[in-house]
Formats: sequence, C-alpha cells, structure tokens
Amino acid sequence: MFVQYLVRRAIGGFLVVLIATFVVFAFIRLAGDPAALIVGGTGENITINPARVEQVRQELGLDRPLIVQFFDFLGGLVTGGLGNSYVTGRPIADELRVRLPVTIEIAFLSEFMAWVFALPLGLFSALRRGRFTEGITRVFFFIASAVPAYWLGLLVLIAVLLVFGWRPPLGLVPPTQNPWTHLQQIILPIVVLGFVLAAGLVRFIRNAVLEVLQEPFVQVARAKGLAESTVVLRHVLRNAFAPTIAFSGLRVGYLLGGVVIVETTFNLPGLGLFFVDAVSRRDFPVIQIAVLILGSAFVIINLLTDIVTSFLDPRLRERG
Amino acid sequence: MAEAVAAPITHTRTRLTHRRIPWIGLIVSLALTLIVLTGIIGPSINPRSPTATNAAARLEPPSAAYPFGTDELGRDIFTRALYGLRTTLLIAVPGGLAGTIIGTLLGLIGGYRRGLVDFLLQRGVEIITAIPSLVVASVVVAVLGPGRIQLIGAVALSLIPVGVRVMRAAALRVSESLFCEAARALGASHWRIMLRHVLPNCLGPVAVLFSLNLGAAIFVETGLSFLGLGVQPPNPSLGNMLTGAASLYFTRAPWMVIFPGLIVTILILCFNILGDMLADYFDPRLRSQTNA
Repeated sequence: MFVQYLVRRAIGGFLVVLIATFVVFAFIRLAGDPAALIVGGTGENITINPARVEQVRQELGLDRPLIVQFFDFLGGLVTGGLGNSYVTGRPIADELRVRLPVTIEIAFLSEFMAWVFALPLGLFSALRRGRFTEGITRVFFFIASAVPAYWLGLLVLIAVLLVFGWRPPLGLVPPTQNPWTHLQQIILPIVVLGFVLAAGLVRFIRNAVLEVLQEPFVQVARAKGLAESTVVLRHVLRNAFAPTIAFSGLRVGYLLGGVVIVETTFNLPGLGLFFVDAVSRRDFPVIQIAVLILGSAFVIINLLTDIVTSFLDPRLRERG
Repeated sequence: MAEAVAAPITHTRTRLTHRRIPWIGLIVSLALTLIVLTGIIGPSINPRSPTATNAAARLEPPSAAYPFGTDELGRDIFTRALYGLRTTLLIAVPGGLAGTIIGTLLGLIGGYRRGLVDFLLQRGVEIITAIPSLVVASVVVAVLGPGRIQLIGAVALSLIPVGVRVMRAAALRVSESLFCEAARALGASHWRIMLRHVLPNCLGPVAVLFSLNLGAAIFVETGLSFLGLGVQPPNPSLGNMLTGAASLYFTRAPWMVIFPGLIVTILILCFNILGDMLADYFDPRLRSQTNA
C-alpha cells in the first residue's frame, strides 16, 4: 500500500518536473530568439548581423520544431550527453560533476546547522513556556526571517575579520585535497544559511512540541512517575520529530534558493553560481539543466522525507 | 487536570497579546510610512546625484557630510541608498500587489469551482513551487531581460503560488457555508458569489498574504539585484549596492554594505511583523499556514 503510494508520488513528481522543464524550454524559445540573443549579447543598441544569427540557429538546432528539440534534449539526458554551454562551449556534464557535490554539501550542512540553531531554542521555549521564552523565540524568528542571507554573509565576514583578524581562504578546495582548508571555507556559508533557515524551524519545533505536550500519553508518562527528562526525550521528542522532519524536507525549495545566494556571496563554485552566471550570460542550455536539477532535487527530497517520516510515525504509512 | 487549566490560560494570553498590539503596530506602521515616504520624496529633495563620482572623497567613512560614507568612486552612499530604496519599492510594491491579486483570484476560482479547473491550477502551482522562487524570477529575467516591467513580472510570478495556496484553502472553507448555498439558490451567478460572498469573507487571509508578500517581493527584488540579474549598475538598488565593488571593498569600507542591507532588513522585518499581527488579529490559526 505504502509502496504504491510512494510510486504514485514519484511518477507524479517527475511529471511535474518534466512539465516544468518543458515550460522553461518553450518559454526560452517562444519569448525571444536565443540565437539573436547570443549573437547580440544583452546590450540594447547592438546591431545584429542576420546571417550570423541564422548560422548560430542552425548550429544549435534551433530551426527545428519545438517538440523535436525537446525530445532531443530529453534523449541527451538519458544518454548522459547534456550538451555544451553556449558561452564556454564546454560540456555541461563536466561542470556538473565538479559543481553538484559542492551544492549538495552546502545544502545538507546548512539544513543541519539550521537544526543546531533551532532545536535547542525551539525545545527550550516550548518546555519553559512563558512570556520571556516566547519573546526570545519571536525575536529570533523575526530577525532570522528578515535578514537577507547575502547581507548576513558580508556582515559575518566583516565581524570575523574585525574580531579575529581572520578571513577564510578564497574559493573552495575539495575536502579530499585539504580537509582543513575546506572546513575553513565552508563553515561561514553554512552557519549563515543555517541561521536564516532556522527561522521557520524554531517556530515549527516549538508548536510541534507544544502540541505533543497536550497529548494524553504525556500525562500518562508523567503519572506513572517517569523523570521529566525521560518524558521529554522518549515521548515528546519522538512524536514531535516526524512532523518537523516533514517540514524540514518540504522547504527544500527555500533551501536551494538560499544556496544560490550564499554560493554567490562567498564565491563558492557550486550549481548556484553556475546558474547565476548562466542567467547573466543567457546561457540557455545551462539554465535548462539547472532548473531540471533543482526541480528533481525538490521531488526526490520530498519523497525521501515521506519515507523517513513514515518510519518515525507508522500511522502515516496507512494513508496510501 | 493540566489540560482543563491550560485552556483558559491560553485564552487570556491571546487577549493580552491583542491588547499589546497597538504600540508595536504603531511603531511598525510609523517606520514603514517613514521609509516609504523617504523612498518617494527623498530623491527629489536631495540635491546630490546617485551616480556623480568624486575622486577626492573615495571610501570616506560616515560623517556629517556623508551620513552613510562614500564608495570606491566617491559616490555618496546615502544618496545612492535613497534612490536604491525608491527603485526597490517601485519594483517590489507593484510586483507584490500583482502577485497577490493574481494569486488570490486564481486561488478563489480554484477553491470555489473545484474540479478540473482546480486540478489544473494545483498542478500549475506545483510546477512553480518545485523551483525556488529566486530561480523562477531569474529565468524570467534571463529570457525577458532586466527591465523594470520584466522585474515586476518576475517578482509577481514567484509570489503567485503562495497566494493560490492560501486563498484556495480559505475559499474552500467559505464556499461551503450556508450563505453561499443561499446565494446559489437565489440564482446568483458564479462570479457574483465569488466576488460578493466568498472574497469579502476571505479578506483576513488576503490582508495577511499581502503584507507577507510585500516582504517577500522586497526579498526577491533585492536578491535578484544582488545576483546581478535585477537592476543594472550604475543605477542603484538596495540589492546591487552590495555586489560588484562592494564585495571587494567591504572589509576596508564596511559602511558600503552595512547601510543598504540594514534598510532591506528593516523593510522586510516591518512587513513580516505587520503580517504576523494581522494574522493574529484575524485568525491565529493562519500563522502556521503562511509562514511555512
């Protein structure tokens, strides 16, 4: 039953991604002529040589029907040939091999940092209920959800330089090459993104814990004489976890948007920076692939979240 | 026992918060009015130009002459922030307004009509939600170019899904009520029921949505400009003042990034607090929906 439900979700999810990719694909081709944009650049008063545009159009296969181009693009995905960047001419697959791990690492570590910030604060304010703790959580929530990650990133860099006289080494070396330098380069971005991401999480954890505390089984656990710490750890936390993990997984779109920002702020060579460069140079094949990857990540993580929460809370498995 | 006592306590607390609202609300509304007025009037009464360079006053720290300091070309950051604020507001406010109205109307239709229309709308929303809003806006800019109208459209498009989701939930609830059935029995048309009966009863969520969307619109616009995809230099926007030269000089001249970012943060903070208070006022249960 549950497997069937998951399969249905997976198929539905990938259909959504496929349609999203097609929409972007068609949008790029119908809203303007990519060939003219490539030849003409982004300036407004550049004269465009029509013969050159026609040549580029044929080189890139843009003169074929839309649907043929789309299936050609999908075929490329299956065989692993993702095409070349319009701008650099290099295979996109080569770039992705280097850049995807960076983005995945930042995304996971940032969400982890968000939990590090949010779990103690959310728990504390739910367990010690009162005006003071409620105030702290509110202030944290509002500040963390209003501060733009790029600004916070720059502020943290300034603060670290002024206080410790330290600035992280430029760029990002792979952890296999030099783990210590890698850690220095990655720590500030994930702390900054983690802080921003913690905003919603704190509130969610607080509400989830408060809700579980109202359940009769918590009263039973207390009544049978369990220590308060055992009640919290074994009964409250376990039951508050499933919805929180679901929440954590559902906002993956928000997370990936944040990754794009911190990669640009800290100049980390991940998918986000690749995408931003592609947009500013109108490198359409790269934009398409990036959208496809971001959309697929959303679907895959949502599915994983479903599986994880169903293990934490068997009742959820029955909904198939 | 604990539960029996808990209920009235929560009740009093909500009441207390309700009574506390005015002065926080007053401060937030005053701050917002002040910032928006500054953005509208400021550039016209300030004699300085946001793009005039001055080689003699490069990277000057804040002083009486330059309240926010100067940048690497000797441009006055205070003046640039004023113009940047106006640019940001002129994109974010129409974008937020358009996104909220379109999202609300689509959600209204989806929640009221159900069936195929609703199904298609839901899938459309899913498609946009599957991609981060900043990325959606970037794709629009990539194709249509970074003009003001295009940016407004990009901001609006990225906000539509939230509007549809919030409004659909509210419309579903309201359209089941007896007065809608009564209107239908009297032979009112679908449009009349939607606009005269359902919509006015969903104004609470719409007000909350609008406030939060304005904050989100500022977030998307400044984010796009920060990424270099929004307002193009040398025209200042609160977002693009933090890129380019600022990212090279910010350790030597922190004022280059501190002030523009601070204004963005205060703006978003005000809209979020306002949205939260409106949510509390209309229906405390809404909060968890809109913040997700």
